[in-house]
Amino acid sequence: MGEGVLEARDVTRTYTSGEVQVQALRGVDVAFEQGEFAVLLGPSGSGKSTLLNILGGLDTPTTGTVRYRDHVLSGASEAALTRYRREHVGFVFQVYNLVPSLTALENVALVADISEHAMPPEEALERVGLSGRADHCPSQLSGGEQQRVAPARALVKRPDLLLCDEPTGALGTTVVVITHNQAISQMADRVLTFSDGRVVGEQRNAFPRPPSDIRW
Amino acid sequence: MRALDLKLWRDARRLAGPAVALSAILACGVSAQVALRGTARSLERSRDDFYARTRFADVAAEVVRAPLSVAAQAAALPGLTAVAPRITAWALVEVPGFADPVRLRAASLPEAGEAGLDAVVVREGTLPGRGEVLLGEASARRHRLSPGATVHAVLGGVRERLRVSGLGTAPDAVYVLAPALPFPDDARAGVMWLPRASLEGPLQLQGAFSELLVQVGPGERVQEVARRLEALLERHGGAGARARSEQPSHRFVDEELRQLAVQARFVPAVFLGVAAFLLRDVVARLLGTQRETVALLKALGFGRAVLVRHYLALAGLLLLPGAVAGAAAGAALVRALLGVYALYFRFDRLVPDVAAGDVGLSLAVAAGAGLLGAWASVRQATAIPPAGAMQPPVPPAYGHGLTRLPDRFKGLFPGARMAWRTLLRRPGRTALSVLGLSLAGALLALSGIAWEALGWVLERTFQDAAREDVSVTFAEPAGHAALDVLASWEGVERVEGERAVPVRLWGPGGRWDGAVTARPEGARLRRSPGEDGREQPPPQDGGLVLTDALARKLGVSAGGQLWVERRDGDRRAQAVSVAGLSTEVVGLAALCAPLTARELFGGGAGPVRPGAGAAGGGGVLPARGVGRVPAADGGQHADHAGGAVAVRVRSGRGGRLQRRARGAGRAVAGVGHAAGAGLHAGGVCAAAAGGPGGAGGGLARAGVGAGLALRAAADGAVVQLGACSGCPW
Repeated sequence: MGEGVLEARDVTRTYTSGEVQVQALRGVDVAFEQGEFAVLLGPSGSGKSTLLNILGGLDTPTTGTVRYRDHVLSGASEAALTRYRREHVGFVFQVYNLVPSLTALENVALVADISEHAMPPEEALERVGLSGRADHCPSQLSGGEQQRVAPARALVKRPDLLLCDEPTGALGTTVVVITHNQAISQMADRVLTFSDGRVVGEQRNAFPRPPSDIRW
Repeated sequence: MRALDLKLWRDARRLAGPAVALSAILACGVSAQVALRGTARSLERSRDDFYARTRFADVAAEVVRAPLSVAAQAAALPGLTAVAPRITAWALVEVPGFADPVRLRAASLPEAGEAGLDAVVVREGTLPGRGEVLLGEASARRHRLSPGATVHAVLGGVRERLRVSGLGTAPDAVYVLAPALPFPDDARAGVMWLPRASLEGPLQLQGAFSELLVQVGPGERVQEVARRLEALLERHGGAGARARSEQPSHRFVDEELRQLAVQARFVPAVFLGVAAFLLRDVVARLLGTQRETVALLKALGFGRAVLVRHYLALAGLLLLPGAVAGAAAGAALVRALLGVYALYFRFDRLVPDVAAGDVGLSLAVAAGAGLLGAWASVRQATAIPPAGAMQPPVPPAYGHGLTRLPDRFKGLFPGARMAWRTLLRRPGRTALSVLGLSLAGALLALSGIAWEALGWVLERTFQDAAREDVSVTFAEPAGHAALDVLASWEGVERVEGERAVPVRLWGPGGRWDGAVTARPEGARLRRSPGEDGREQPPPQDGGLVLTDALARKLGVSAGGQLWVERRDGDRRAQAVSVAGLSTEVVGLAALCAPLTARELFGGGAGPVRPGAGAAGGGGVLPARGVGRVPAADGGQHADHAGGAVAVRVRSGRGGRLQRRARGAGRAVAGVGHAAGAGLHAGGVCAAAAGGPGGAGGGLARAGVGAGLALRAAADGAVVQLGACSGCPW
């Protein structure tokens, strides 16, 4: 595997949940290139969320190294990881995770406020087709609308790296999507298959398909 | 406004409901602290200011009679900065519409140009002229006497009609303790001021004084000055010089303020502790619900410091109303409480003094605890990586250690098991909860304990220790005939006599100016409970029985030795042993057997011994001459100076006793003279000690003009007559 902007080397992650120890990652080697759209595909519990969290600086590996460009994330301080997330990473979480007391626009502005090169929050909302619902709080939005605020919030900061659960169009950004939905993998430049805490397969799509061409 | 700030305000608004509860808790903690400490401080400062403005004397010395030139000699003593001679005497005052006699301590006002100490502050009306009197505010207001009213006073045996010119207060008369009254009682004891000329004649003190007030220079030793004064005044019938710390009014005020200060430390601390505990817990739990939002914000790139600031600000907003309300309520309570205390502390003014320090301290503790809770909660949410924090929390660990304890009790149903495991999983938190609940319980108990304690004191005092219905104290020693007269009244069941000798006691730990009371053997109306709860009668073979409080003051215990020095007559100091201790709840007292008194102090009114009455022992009525005091030695008044005999009467049929009492003054006064006990018109006055069982009411007063007033009550009521002079107070 060649060198990428984001890479994980021999990464393991063991959780202690109560009295049980769970080894979620058992030695992952993976690298992502600039502008690549990658999909991590695998069944529930295969460790893909864990890897995504580690790549996004939301979690730290038990062993192994993780690097984004010249940032070594494994072993980085909490403050350094926070800065990494703030400056480089956009997240779209599986659950929408909106702040209930803020409107759709304010939820997006929340991120724009702390980003240096953010686009106007209105523009981000427009890109997901929610301009008309900008002043509505999450409780006033439908499930689908809430789901669309999440990518707007992730994109508003113009992140270098977008980590999400759902497919999106090519943005000139390195995108890592985790999913168990095979259809999404058709959009990716590359599909990494996960099983039992390991990358068990890798497939390159010579011709990634746009979302409109995919049968969901 | 930044989105995070918007979130802050909206979250605060959303949490308005819990914020009300938090504010109530915080306001309670803060207001209790501010109010109680502020009240205590306000009273202390008001007292100090009042004392300073009115030039409260450092030392006061009473004499029988000393020419004014002696005051000039005193002024020349080293260490004194001001000297003020005055005339003081207890007077009996008839208040229209009030059945009992009222004892007022009359004091002369300084003449124009004289340096007055214990200056009087006129609160209403004007200073008195000839034929006028300035009444102490407390008793005047109690009796609704205003300037322009008229009262009759018996002063030195002369009954005078006086017009009330005004009401006033003075530093030595914030509380007035009349002889034989255990507590200040505005209805029956007080103070009044008259022009010197109004007192000189009746008291035969022209060009003389009976009390010398002294101010001591800074850095001077008060006790040393008092000693010099005593030496100077001894040959003028000096009864000892009393430092301010021993002045009854000051001591009472001081004791009250000290109690308040203790309460002001303890009660708010409990309130504050409970408030702090609750705030910490409630805020922590409230923000605990924001765990996932904290993790989300962190995931989005907000640093820990920003989040901690954000949530501390949120907690601060939730606590702010309580802090403001608590401080405001505390300050308002200080004013309200001072309004109440103004009825008890007759300073010229009560100035509220709310210290920023109290507000700050209470806020720091209570709000600080709340913020600590917030901090702990946010810290917990930010301590784990956001990936974990965004997941539902890991189920708490059970199955170890204490949590398995309930398993041993097989009969426990699952609900109980669950409850026990939850309690035992975090024993520290459970212990704190128990502590919090205990403190909350203590608060409830505290609010009720004052009344309970007072009830207990009254019960111990009037059912166990002082069981008489009427007590009569004579100005000068009375002979047994006085007892006989009292015993002969219809309805009187029992009469017992006592003799009190004013003394100074010296012990290893200090000295005490008071009286030794000789109590007859077999006395049943007055008893002193010993340390084991049983009666501790004074031993017949010598020695004193001290109340434990007095023993502590003198630094002596049972078996120890004291020096006793009579404060009138022969002042030679003698050694006396402490035979035992009693546990009276009120006051300091020293008791001895009549024979001991005779050995120590000579004849005087003579040892009190049971008469040859029908019942023997203490003597029980209706037989005459029980609890008999032998006739004083043939009218040799000088020998009896300072002696006192108290007679107690147990009323059987109060109504009749009341009628009989109407003639009491004349009768007993006559007996007193007949017995040569030196009972003279005007020399006796009365004080009442209210007690249990006053059913039937009917109080009688008689013979005020003749010199004796007696308050007799219906069945079971307690009445006490006190002496005007020569009393142990």
